[in-house]
Amino acid sequence: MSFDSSIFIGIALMLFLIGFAGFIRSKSAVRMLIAIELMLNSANINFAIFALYNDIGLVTGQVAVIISIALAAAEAAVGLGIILSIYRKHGTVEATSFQSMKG
Amino acid sequence: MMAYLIPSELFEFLNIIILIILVVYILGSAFLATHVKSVYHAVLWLVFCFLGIALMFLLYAESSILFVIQIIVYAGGITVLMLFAITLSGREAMYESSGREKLMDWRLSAAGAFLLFLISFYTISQVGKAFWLLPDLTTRAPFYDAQGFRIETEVIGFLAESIFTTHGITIIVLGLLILGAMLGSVYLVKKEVEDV
Repeated sequence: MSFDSSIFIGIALMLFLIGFAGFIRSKSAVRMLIAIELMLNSANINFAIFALYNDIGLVTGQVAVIISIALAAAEAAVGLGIILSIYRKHGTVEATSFQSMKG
Repeated sequence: MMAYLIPSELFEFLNIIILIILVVYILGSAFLATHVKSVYHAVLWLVFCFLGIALMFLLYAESSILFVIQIIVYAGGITVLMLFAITLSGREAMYESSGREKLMDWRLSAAGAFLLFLISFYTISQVGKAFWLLPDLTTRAPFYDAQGFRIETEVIGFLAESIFTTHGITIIVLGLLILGAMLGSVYLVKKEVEDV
């Protein structure tokens, strides 16, 4: 049984909004990374669903999702390296406590 | 058309129920991942959210390869990396502000139970074609429907071929990017260690 594609786009939109709200309100840098991963995942859902419901071919959408997942893995590795580096320098990972670039 | 063990009306109804449960599961665990006090628990909630999205790839995007990749890379790799980072950044990194210190949350157990329920539902509903993933992963030839149109189903051969031909440059660039990211993160952490 197949559902209408708008259902899944709605799910992806809500997931994106949850991630965005979490990114805005969080203080911890790790939680900001979590929110970014949620937003990336909502984009992945859109890729997979659009590939299925359009006639561009299922494979193209799946390759796009695979590329996006690999990018997310690279981004998480660099982000966590930065978080560790910040912790060693400042002793905390709260994003509100290192604002030296803010001026 | 697959033969189901239960009447088709009941199956349609159960499909809708399963979709609703899955949506509540994904969105609820995503909400909790961004709102619980303990960052450690937030990462555990993120695992459940990723597993729910993996099930959505399997059930509604008809893609078992994305299901597998999502579980391996996201639920297995990135979350463990995050747990390592939290553990290495000391105890104060675990809580955003003064939070309750509980070892386990009953909602986490409930989420795991729901996931098992969904997986078992899917397996039972697909009894008609036993070894549910094997036909998809091993079939090489294109499928044709009753009217003779070619259906591009989820066949891993197409994907492999397209990765090495049409999207070859993208994959190479991606590999260079991941190499750069790995070297960059190693450099970031190593430099700090030398400074200390």
